[in-house]
Amino acid sequence: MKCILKILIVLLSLAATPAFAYADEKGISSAELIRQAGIVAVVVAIIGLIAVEFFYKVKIERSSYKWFLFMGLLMLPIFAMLSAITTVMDETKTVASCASCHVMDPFVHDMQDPNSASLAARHFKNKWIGEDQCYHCHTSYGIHGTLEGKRDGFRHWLLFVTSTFKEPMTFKGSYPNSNCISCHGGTPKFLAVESHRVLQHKLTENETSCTTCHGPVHPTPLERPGIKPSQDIVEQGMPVNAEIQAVKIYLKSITTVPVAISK
Amino acid sequence: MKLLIDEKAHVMKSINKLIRLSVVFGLLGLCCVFLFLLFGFKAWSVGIGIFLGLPLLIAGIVLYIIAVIRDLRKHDVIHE
Repeated sequence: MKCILKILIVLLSLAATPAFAYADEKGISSAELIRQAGIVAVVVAIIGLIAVEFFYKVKIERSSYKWFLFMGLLMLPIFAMLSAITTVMDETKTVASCASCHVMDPFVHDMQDPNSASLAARHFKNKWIGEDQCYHCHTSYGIHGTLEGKRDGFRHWLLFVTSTFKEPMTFKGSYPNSNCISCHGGTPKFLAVESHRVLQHKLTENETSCTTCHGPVHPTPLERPGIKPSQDIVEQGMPVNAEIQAVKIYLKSITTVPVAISK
Repeated sequence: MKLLIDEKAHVMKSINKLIRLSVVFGLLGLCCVFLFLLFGFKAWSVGIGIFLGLPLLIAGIVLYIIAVIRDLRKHDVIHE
């Protein structure tokens, strides 16, 4: 009786603890739930198939055998496949998945460095993007962007596992301004900058890139620790961005207002 | 009559072979997918789980479906 009373006191005291005293828990996501259910389905299917096909095939009724095969060879594998696809679609969004290939370390470390002034680091430390920062900036919006992201991810994976990538890493694709403008465009802070208004047409048409003024987005090859830059860069230095010069000349020619450049 | 029995036995044997093959493919595929689900997104686990495991699973499922269709034909549930 005393034991029960003690347990009740402990449970009641736990229940009385205010909510803010608990650690902040996000709870399980649907993707994580599907992953765990997939693990269970796979284990059940493996054990079931081995038992039925190799040990109990002649001991059980033919109809039961067929039902086990139906579950183990069709239903559970289909669920396992859906679980794997959901997991891969969900996990490829995370920063951890990008960092899982060590060639991405300089970029991820820089982004998470509170002392870095790169555009990615400023977005990260100021929580302008709450989570999945790599995915948010490197994927265009809509299903088209998602498919392009998966295609590029597959290409990156192939280059990594076959060790056919070249150092220093460079961004090969084009970067549409809509990725930036979908969040920043139209905000009072954005519109308050004279150059944004002046260059509105060029920004919308992707004739001028946001990163021209707001870079560097990531550390340059010379700034990346552990990366040996190519001989060209060592001898000639980083190539001067011609677009930056062109934008400065263009802005000077059309406005007398000083260009605001985010630091 | 003997020919018919021989033919049915032959079909039964081929169905059993298909089922055994689909079980082997299925088990290999499930093991690969299991590794991916357990270890999460890593360069090696994606290779094994997604690019090897899923095709193996699909092959297992296809073989199973072929075996089921043959079995149904054998029992005259579906006709050619």
